[in-house]
Amino acid sequence: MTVHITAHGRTRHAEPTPDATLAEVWERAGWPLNTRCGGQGVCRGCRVSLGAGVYRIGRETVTVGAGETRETLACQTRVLSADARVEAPAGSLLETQGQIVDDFVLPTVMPDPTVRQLTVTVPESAPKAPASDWDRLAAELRRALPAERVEGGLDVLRALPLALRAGARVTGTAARLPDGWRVLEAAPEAAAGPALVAAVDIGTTTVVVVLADPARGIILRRAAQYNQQIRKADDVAARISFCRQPEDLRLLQDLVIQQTINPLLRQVCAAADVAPERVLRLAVAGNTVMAHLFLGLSPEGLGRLPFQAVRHVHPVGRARELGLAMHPAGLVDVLPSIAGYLGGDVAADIHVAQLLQRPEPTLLVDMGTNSEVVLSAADHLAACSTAAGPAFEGAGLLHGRRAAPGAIEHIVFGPALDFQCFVIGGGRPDGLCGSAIIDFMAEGFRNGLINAQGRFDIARLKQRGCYAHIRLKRGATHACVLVSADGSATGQAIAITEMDLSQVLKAKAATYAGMKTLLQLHGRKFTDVRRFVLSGGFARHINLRNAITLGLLPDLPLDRFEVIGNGALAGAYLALVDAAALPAMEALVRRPRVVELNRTADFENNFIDALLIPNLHADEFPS
Amino acid sequence: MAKNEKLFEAICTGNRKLVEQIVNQQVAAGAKVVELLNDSMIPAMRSMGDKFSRNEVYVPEMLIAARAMQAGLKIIEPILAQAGHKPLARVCVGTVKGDLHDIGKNLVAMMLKGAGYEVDDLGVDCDVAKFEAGVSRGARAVLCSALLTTTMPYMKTVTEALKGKGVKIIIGGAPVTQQYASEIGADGYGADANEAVKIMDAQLGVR
Ligand code: B12
Repeated sequence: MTVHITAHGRTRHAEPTPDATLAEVWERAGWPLNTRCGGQGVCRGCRVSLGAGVYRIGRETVTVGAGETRETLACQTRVLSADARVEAPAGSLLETQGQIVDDFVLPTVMPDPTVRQLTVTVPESAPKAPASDWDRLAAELRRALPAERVEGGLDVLRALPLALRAGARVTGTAARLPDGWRVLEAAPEAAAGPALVAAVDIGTTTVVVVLADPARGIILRRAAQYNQQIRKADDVAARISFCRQPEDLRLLQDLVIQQTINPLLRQVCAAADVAPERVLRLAVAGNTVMAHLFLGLSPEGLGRLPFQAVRHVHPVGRARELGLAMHPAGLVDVLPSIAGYLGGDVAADIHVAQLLQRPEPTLLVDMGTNSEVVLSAADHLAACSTAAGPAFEGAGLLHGRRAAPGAIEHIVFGPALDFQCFVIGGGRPDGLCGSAIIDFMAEGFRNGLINAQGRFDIARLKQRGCYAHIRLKRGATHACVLVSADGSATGQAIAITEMDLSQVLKAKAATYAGMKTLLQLHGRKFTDVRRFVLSGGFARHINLRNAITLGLLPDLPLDRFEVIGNGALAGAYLALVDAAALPAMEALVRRPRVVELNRTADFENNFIDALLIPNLHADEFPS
Repeated sequence: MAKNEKLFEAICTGNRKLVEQIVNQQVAAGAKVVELLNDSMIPAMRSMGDKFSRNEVYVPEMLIAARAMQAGLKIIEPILAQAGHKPLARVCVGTVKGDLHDIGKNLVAMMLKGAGYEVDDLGVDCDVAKFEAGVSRGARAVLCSALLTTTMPYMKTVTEALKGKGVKIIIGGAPVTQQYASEIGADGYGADANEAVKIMDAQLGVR
């Protein structure tokens, strides 16, 4: 009897022993679930979703029909029918070596949250040694935490007498600061709500929020949407140009906080069935410009030479000051940036990928509109940023779009141009995203459809009936029709033009040249790189082989590549659940040698060489 | 001298090594460098430029060809100077203040050289004084490049400073448009490096 179990998009097939609970099945399959309560069925840590099949939940026999699902606790459930399908949300999986949480991979950390909730018994003031309400609470909290310094604001003092009136058991929620703990809330034990945190990745294009329970070290909910600043300007430089006047700066801050983050916070909280006020601390990661706009700092200095920030390491902010939809006394951490174009997202990448802890020569690249590259080895740490343009995110291509349902995500074909397109979420496609165009160009190059300059074999396109001549603003261009009008969701054919190919070539050339130049400056070659870390959403979805064929990534054995997913979000999350993380990031931002590629003579040559597929120096790509 | 087909081809396909080899060979064999330039090298760049305008070649091939051309020019430039070669006109090019992008500007410079102009390359991060110095060295036109929306406004400053000094001001770069050029009162705008050549030809009436 086989059970198919699925987590983070992958499925394993398990053969359970008779009478094993689902929690045991998962554990034996190498995916232990969170059974903190010892499999008693009380903590809800091992929630899973049952697909069609027959089960025994407790003593009851339950049938789940085709197309239906039912939530249950794995520790209380046994499978009775063959071929049952069970899926676990990422939050139900236990942390092992490298937990894959939703869209990022974390190193193993000892949880040491920066927000803690403690219930203490506050004694009556003793007649012999009278002490104030606050002193008695603080003394208990100091002992329980344990901590040397505990402070609290006026709002806590205002709530304290009421809490004490209800009884001696008081639940205090405290947040760790560099010099001690600050009590954010004091409530009677019975009335205290949960203390949650939220990690936010502010991307130039997309903003992601995850709601987490720091005490349990688990992620509860996730939500994402476009950064609403896009309505005013789409890339970083354009946003900088936009906010010349203070009111425009306020508008952009409003768009990211009121129109983007707050709705996401409300959404994740509603889904988790808690009030947004239960979010007591928030950590934000983003590039330097995004961090400035979030805090309402002028990004003007970041727009032109010498690309200077107002500040790199930020003090702890207050929710109230920023107008965030969370606990009004809540705290806000902003990840520190390294330089104007090496932001908190890169600091997070370095921390999450543990570049400073591991001595082997490592290259980390966070691919996106701006690709950031970090080189680390036992004796040095260097970083640069290389502007690639938006092609990897699907923008700027004739039928390009963001990686979301409806977009073609992967393409496979042979010399006969029998295009097989894989659409996110299935169904008819309405465009293609960055990972698909990488596949298309690599396959096309292998099959001789596309030459090294990124030009089509027109005769072959015509012979196979996929040729189109497309008029654009900037003139006409040859194109390959991938999906005919009746196969697409838009009623229009989906095509890839030679102009699109040239955009991708520029983007891949800038990325490859950035990496190569940084290595050259340190007297190294790609083959010296032992560990190649790929961060960011785009890298998570690309076919590495194809990216190598195209010449975007160097020709290294595939086992040297490590895909960590959204490093920025992972860094923000770690800043909340591991008290050592933020100080570590704040210390590391001073370490890298920041290389300006414009001032590096080799860059231009490397860029031009890399404009060919795979490269003008084909010997760099033996396989 | 007739067109050296091999050299022409080597430039068009961007074979830097071969260009250097052929030019060195020709120079050693006593060929007239002016003819080498006028009959083979300039036509090669012009031909690439025309194909570029017709969308038959794209930026990658242009850049590779330009780099090969540059390699050839480097060898013959000192000889040309000695021979008292007369260029079409002298112009200066530069990337504006705050901006360090120069690949596009270099291509513009190369195409102009390839078309027979003498180019005074002012480099990147050029303030008004640098452009003025270019003019005082005899440039009949100033070509400004900007790749950032944040540095583009500086073109207005340059245009205002040089207006009425008898030089043509031409602007270009990815974020720049014809409309912007008209707005700030520049004399011309070019969408690509080949247009830069055509505008120069037309504005200076040299061809
Ligand atoms: C290569 C590149 C770089 C290189 C530059 C190396 C160098 N020595 O120039 C590096 C990596 C160092 C770099 C750095 C930066 N870059 Co950059 N970069 C690019 C990239 C990928 C290609 C530009 C290029 O060289 N194209 C090839 C050339 C041949 O084309 P071109 O420059 O457009 O020139 C053509 C025409 O415009 C025209 N032309 C140009 N100048 C002129 C002048 C005249 C008079 C005429 C007539 C015509 C003309 O002719 C040329 C040939 O046809 C573009 C993205 C893209 N896909 O275009 C981003 C891009 C220009 N960069 C950008 C940014 C933001 C930056 C940085 C600020 C951030 C960063 N990531 O570090 C820094 C700033 C550095 C600085 N101080 O200038 C943004 C600008 C966004 C905006 N709205 O302003 C872009 C568009 C990418 C993006 N979308 O984010 N960059």
